Amino acid sequence: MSIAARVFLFPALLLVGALVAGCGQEAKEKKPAGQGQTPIRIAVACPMTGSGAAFGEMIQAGAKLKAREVNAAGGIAGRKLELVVEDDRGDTSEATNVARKIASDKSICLVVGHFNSTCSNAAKDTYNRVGIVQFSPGSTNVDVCRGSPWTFRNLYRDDYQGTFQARYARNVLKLSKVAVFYDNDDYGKGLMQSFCEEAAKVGLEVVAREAYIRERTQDFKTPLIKVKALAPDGVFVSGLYNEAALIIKTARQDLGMNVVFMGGDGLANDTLVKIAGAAAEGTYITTPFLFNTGQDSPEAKEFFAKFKQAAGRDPDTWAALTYDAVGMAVGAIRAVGDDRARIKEWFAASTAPEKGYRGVTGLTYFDREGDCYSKPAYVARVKNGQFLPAEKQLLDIK
Amino acid sequence: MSEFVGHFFNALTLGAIYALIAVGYTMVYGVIKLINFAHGEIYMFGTFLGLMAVAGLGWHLGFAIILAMAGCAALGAAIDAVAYRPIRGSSRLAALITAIGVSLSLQTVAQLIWGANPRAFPTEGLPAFLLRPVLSVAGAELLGKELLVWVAALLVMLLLHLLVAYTRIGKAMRACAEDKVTAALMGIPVNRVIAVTFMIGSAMAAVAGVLYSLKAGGNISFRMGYYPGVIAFAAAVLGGIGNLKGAVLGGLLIGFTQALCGGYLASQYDFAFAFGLMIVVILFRPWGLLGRPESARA
Amino acid sequence: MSGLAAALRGWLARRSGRDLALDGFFLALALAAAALPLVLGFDSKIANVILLVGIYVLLALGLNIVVGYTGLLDLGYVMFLASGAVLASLLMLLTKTEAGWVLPVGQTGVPEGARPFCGEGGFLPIMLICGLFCAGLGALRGIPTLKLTGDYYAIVTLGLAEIVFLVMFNEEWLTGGAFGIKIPKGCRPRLLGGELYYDTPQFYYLVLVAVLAGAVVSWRLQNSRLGRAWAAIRLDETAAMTCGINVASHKLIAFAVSGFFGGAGGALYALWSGTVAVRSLEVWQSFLILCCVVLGGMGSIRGVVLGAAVLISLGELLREDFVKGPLAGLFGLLGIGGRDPSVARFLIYGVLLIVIMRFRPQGLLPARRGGRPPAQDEERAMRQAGSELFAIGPGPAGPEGAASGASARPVLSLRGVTRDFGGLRAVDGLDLEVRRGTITSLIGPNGAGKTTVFNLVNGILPASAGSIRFRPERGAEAELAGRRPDLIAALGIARTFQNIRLFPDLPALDNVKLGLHRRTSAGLWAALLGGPRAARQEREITNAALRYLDFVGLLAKAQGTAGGLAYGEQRRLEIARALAGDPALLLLDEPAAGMNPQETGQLMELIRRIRDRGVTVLVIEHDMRLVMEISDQVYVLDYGEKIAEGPPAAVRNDPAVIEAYLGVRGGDLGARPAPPAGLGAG
Repeated sequence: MSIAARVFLFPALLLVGALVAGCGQEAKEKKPAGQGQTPIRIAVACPMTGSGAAFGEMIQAGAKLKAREVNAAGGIAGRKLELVVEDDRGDTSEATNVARKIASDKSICLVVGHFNSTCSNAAKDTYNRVGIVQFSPGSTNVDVCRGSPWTFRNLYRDDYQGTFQARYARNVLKLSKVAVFYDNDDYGKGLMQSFCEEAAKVGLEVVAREAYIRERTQDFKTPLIKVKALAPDGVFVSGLYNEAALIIKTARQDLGMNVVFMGGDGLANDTLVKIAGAAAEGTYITTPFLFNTGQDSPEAKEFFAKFKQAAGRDPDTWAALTYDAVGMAVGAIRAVGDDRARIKEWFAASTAPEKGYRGVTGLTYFDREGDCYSKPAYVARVKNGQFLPAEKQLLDIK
Repeated sequence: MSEFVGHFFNALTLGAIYALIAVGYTMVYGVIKLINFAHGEIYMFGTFLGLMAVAGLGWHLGFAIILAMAGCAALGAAIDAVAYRPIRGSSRLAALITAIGVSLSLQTVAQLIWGANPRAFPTEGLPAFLLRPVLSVAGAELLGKELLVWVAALLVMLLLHLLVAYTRIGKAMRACAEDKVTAALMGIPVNRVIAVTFMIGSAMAAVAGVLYSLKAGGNISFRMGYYPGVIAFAAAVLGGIGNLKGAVLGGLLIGFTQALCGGYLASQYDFAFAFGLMIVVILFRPWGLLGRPESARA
Repeated sequence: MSGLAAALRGWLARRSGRDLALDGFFLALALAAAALPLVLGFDSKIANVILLVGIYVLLALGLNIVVGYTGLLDLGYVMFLASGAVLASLLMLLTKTEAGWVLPVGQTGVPEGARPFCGEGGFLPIMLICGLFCAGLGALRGIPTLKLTGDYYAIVTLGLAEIVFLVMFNEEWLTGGAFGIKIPKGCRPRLLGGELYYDTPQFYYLVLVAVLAGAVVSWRLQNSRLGRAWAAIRLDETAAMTCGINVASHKLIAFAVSGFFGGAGGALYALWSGTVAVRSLEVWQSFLILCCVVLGGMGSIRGVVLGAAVLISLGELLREDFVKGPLAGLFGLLGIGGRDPSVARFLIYGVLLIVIMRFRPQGLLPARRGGRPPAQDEERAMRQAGSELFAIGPGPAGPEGAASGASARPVLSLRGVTRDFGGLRAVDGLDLEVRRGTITSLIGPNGAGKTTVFNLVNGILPASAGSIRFRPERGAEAELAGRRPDLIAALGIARTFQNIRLFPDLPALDNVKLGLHRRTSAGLWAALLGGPRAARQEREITNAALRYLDFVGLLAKAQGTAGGLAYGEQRRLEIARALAGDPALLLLDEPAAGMNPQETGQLMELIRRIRDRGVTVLVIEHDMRLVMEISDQVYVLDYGEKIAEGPPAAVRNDPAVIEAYLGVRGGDLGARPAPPAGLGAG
């Protein structure tokens, strides 16, 4: 056989093999769930790479812990619980792809995800179209559940978070001029907008709004020089931990800006401290859940210990939220089986405290949109490299 | 005024780093006419090596930089031997695609080794003078690490100039850049000279990488090389690709444009201004600022 | 019916075994693509992968036009994809309420009672609009970058793409910025009774049809006069200009067509993804599309299809569980157990690129170089058919024609022509006349500036001073200095080159067809739409080209690649190409170089035949026998100046000439090379 034929043959065979394999896979997945002793499959979609990777690690760890416990206790009606983890890379088009993949796999009955608001927003179209419940343990953008009957979440929204932040900054921290850095995506921008709206109402002056592009903007000295000249007494970062760490570090270390630093829950990961080091000391962040407040529920204490033993490190809020999300999903499946539509009915009916799910992070129940208003926001402060509860917490605001 | 001086210092620092990377790009291009897309990944590997030395082994920063340079020099030579040399005679596009393949492979290997989470140099591991201001002009401070960038860049480029202009190997490099075939006929071991070129360019990229992550405060991740790679290419082309002084000039110009336009106009468009400058220059002077027009021969 | 069968049989007979096998393979692939979703469902993973492959094939075909056909490295192709996607989304969002047209960007719902702009069948105009918009964008981007070569062009396209990305990303009022543009349910276009979305049959088959259309268009362009011109530009821009090809306008057409594909592909992409977030359309997509083109085989439609299919489906395949499982195990062994296995697919991609470029740099299915093997009766038929295109000179000139021609006004007059290269004066105040219907020779030692004179006449180099006047029989007198080479070719001047500038990858026949370029006119629309007139012109071009080849004695080698010909044959081919332009003046630059005495004799015979047809010939030569035997007039140059002129015999004995070649008598004769044959001998 000539060389040309051989070289051509290889990719041709590859293609044909791909087709055959894909068809086989397809056939396997077409089998509807609920037959005999096949495992119950739940998808977990989160960023495993990119600048949200640390979140993905925690999310995966929390989900896996819950799945192990469920299986150790006999599974769900005798069937094993199996997790299908998919990486959406924090990217919109990847999230769409992942969503299509999950939705077309009929053996998956629910998806816990996504994490980034941008990804949840992009993916929810597919989930709604095909009809599978999307339960997010981390997307806080206002639009995520809006107009989407199949999307639910177990944490607050950014209009709440942003309002909360602005009031905390003004009333508790007594700041008067704030510069805002925001990640130019759904989450960062949404949170920034709600923060600035409330800031205007409470008399907090926003002297600058500097946008950056996550994973592209690598150096923040240029905008910080501008901001320093405006002499704010606080800097609010609406984005994820990596860029926030760089901003705080450059501002404190390089420019000597001794202002108050605040951030949204995108900073709630210890990588912030790893990167920013000592410069992160004293940073305030909002977070949907906090451990070791002195008022931890028994569930929280138990989870903290279990997680630490299993994963060798302290859990964070995202692990806890995912643990609860999987737990609530398991509860749904126990109640109505693994039929996608019935699961959605169950979720849609969980709109009262009596029907809520009590987990590590508190009581989860939804409003008509699928949003969860039953939990407060906490404020943590970085002390000695750890996220500890801030001295003053703000009372729950509605 | 303080704001302007601050921007000026920042611009010079960025420009120096870009110049370092651009010189490596342009050296390789000058000798084998290859757009080495993997240059950004070598920059990234050097940074990780330096990070491992400081954070993992507890070395002094100076030794860490030397380790990074040596490691990247080896990596550069290895890439040349494995990926580029076998296709030396093939078309330029084949070489370009190979470079893209190398870039992709290096990124993934880095991700597999060091994970996806960005990292930073631990502050405790660094010499104290880096974070202290060493100079204050009109209220704007110049930090030790920024001064280090200037000094290191200047030193490296001076050494490179001496090497290229006054040593035998430098003359051999210049000869190969002009005409490889004749150089070979004169007895110059062309493949070895090319390997040395790669090694020098890669070592410079390693220095640039360590310095940049010190300056920026972190962001050491497997993706960190992509953008600086593109910027360096633009800088090299702006100055006249293949021309070392041009690469330095190009890097400085791009750094200044990015910092000043980003600082005074719109920071989210800082790269757009830099690219815009490059495009405008190329349109009016297609061979770059310091390049020479290729004559049309029939 | 029987005519069709006969045509089919004839077509089949001409295809080689390899071709038929490939055709069969792609046919099977197409049928599988069309049929599989009927079995597995349009929302299945396979269908999704095929859709994605289809969109990328369309994009790769578009990039292929610039990279593969025209030979320009475009690294910024993603800007068409992004522009097309954004424009399509905006057009789809356009709705008409009582208040007028609104564009509800960023909201999640369509206002009550509003009608979208695109309803039933409305997506097709949207695709067209996006394609045309991006075609314009491509041409616009091309205008300032025409003069840029290779890598400079590449980086400028890359820089522009980055700028476009940043603008799109930051200007949310237009593109929704990071949120992207979501196309809500009420705005999704419909076609043939169904919605157009990623899992509907209507969309699926729309994409397949678009891909088919794209392939057909590419194929038609490739085999047209336009496609030939692009190939010429890719292989040798200077020679292309000499054939009368307006390089600038051809490049702009290429950019526009390429942009059209990108825009249409972008529109399909927008519909496929449902949410167009510019963030995902970053510059590295350009590299992916480029890899599809180069990996598959540049310039080859089947190669591009295969390249895109392999790369995209490989990317999706490597995400499957049966791949992730073993990979996870492997990672565990290597001590990196925690890493996500799907990451490894980029490593496999990268290594695949390296390996394929190493062992098969021309790509998996490269474009076929030579022509197809000639069919006997076809050739005979072509020989017999007449062709008005075949013409050499105004007609055979008899002896009285030659005599009267000698007294007519000169065809070419150079007055005071000077050319400086920086400090070097290559041609110094040259006065030269070429008389109509004669063979004039230009001789002189190496470096005398002879080829430079040709470059000045031909327009490749601008003169620093002086005038060059050209007086063809048919046409007005013209000043050549300062004109573009392709315009000079159009006036009726053709040339060959000292170091042969053929188009080596093209068949010999195509080389001659390119010589005919300036005398024919089928352009973009003829290539796309075809029609009997265009087909007839193509046949005439082929006929004429065969006859030109016959004239120089190369008919048997018509289908072989030009690069594969023997050296002497290549020189004759270049002459055939030059003659195909029906020039009034033919410039031959060292046509006898490297030939043995027998070949030189045949060449002299050929030149005489050309002169006898009435074409004026100007020859640069070192072979003194040829010069002395065929020239009517000889000019001698040294250091850029004319040192002698006159009939061959006079020049041969001119002391200045002897000195220029041999040096002054009385020097160290032992070290001089032997005088050229014929000079100074008897």
